[in-house]
Amino acid sequence: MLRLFTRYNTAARPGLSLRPLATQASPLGVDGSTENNLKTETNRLAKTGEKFWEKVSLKDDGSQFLVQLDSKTVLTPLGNALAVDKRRSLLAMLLKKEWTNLPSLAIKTHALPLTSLVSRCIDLENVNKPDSDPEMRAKIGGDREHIANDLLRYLDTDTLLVFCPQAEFEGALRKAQDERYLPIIASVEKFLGQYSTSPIKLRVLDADVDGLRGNSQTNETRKAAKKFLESLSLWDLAIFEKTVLTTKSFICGVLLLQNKALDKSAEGLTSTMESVAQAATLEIIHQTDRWGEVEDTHDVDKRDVRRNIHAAGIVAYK
Amino acid sequence: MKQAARAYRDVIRAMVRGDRRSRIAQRAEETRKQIAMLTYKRMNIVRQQNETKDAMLNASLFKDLQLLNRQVETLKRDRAENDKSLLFVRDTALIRDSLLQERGDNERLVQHLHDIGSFLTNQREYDELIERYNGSSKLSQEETVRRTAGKVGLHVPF
Repeated sequence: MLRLFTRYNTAARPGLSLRPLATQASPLGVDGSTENNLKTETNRLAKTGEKFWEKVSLKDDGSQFLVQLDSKTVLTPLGNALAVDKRRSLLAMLLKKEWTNLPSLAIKTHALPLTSLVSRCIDLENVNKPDSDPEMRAKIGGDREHIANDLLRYLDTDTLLVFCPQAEFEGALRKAQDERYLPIIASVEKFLGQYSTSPIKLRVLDADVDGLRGNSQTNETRKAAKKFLESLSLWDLAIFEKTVLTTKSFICGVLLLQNKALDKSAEGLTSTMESVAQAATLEIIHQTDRWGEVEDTHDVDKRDVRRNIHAAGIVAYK
Repeated sequence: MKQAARAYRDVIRAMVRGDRRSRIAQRAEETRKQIAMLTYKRMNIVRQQNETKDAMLNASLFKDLQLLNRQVETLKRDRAENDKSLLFVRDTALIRDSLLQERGDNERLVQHLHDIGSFLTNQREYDELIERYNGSSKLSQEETVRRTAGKVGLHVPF
């Protein structure tokens, strides 16, 4: 049911098939056909689309903040309590705000990005406990191995690894790509090198040299990237997943996690969330510069990418 | 310290804008409900008036009716957009506390506050755009059905 929160009703958007940039991401591996009939607040909201509570509050239970509606704790789609640890007090405040600010009539499914992401984090953590129900795990696509393999595919054709021809936009786009991407790629190679015995070299796609073709990384790179994914906590994995799906870039996920981690980010990977968003949409920035924004497409997607990246950043911060 | 103050201000500003929008919507919904309730009461009084022959009771019912009418008028005149109290944000204690704990010189926290501000702004703008381009999504289910039927010249039979 989480999907209902993460994207808006596409059926109501007839222009969608024309949209060149589909940025709305749904979690990988969610079985859309399965009815989820657990009695939880998030499911009830998703099904009825109506506000059914009066008061939203935060309860401090010693180690965690619980989000409560009329003094009943909100449950995630899989029936776990919606709670964040006390180091994430600002996140708790924002979660409360999300529920307080919902208009009472016809709640739209895109209104709760933070709740959606935090629910995914909590549910992933719970279905990956040793004695958890494998059926539940399958239901939300919560198998770690599976998620990691799906995410690795994004490294092959990463947004930050694809370079446009020199001739395009009088070379402006290529210049911007070289300036932005090359240092990041070098730093990520170094960063992934920690997880491998041999130095890592990322394969890039240069449209001038390679033309149109697919791309795939070497086995060492994949192994190192996989090791990196295995080193992540389940919360970080869910955040990483959200970022990768939004930006279509594995590297942007690394950037985001590095910048929100408690200790200082690895050398050369310091960046703000805004510049992550810009790196992920560099080509669109140049296109809209030249041709103008298409209504109901570029303006909506610009906000969508940013709100999702920022939401991931906010959840990642401790 | 200056940067922290600026970040704090940004977040509060984004919060006020986002909150105000949804609070206006919530207020409108509340008013709608209250008016429906008062209208129902009014209907009951009119029914009572028709049934009774007692002049005294009739006079008091008339008074009640007038009172209800006045209440409905006041509710209809209520403009949430002009309400100054919506320009204040209620729960800022957590942000202030976390800033004070860090003594305001933590770069990471300041950056985080900027992110929160951007998140709130982008979320609000996104909602506004979706609403603008999909105007009908705000209508209730009955209203949507009624309008769809109306488009092809039919009437919904209730």
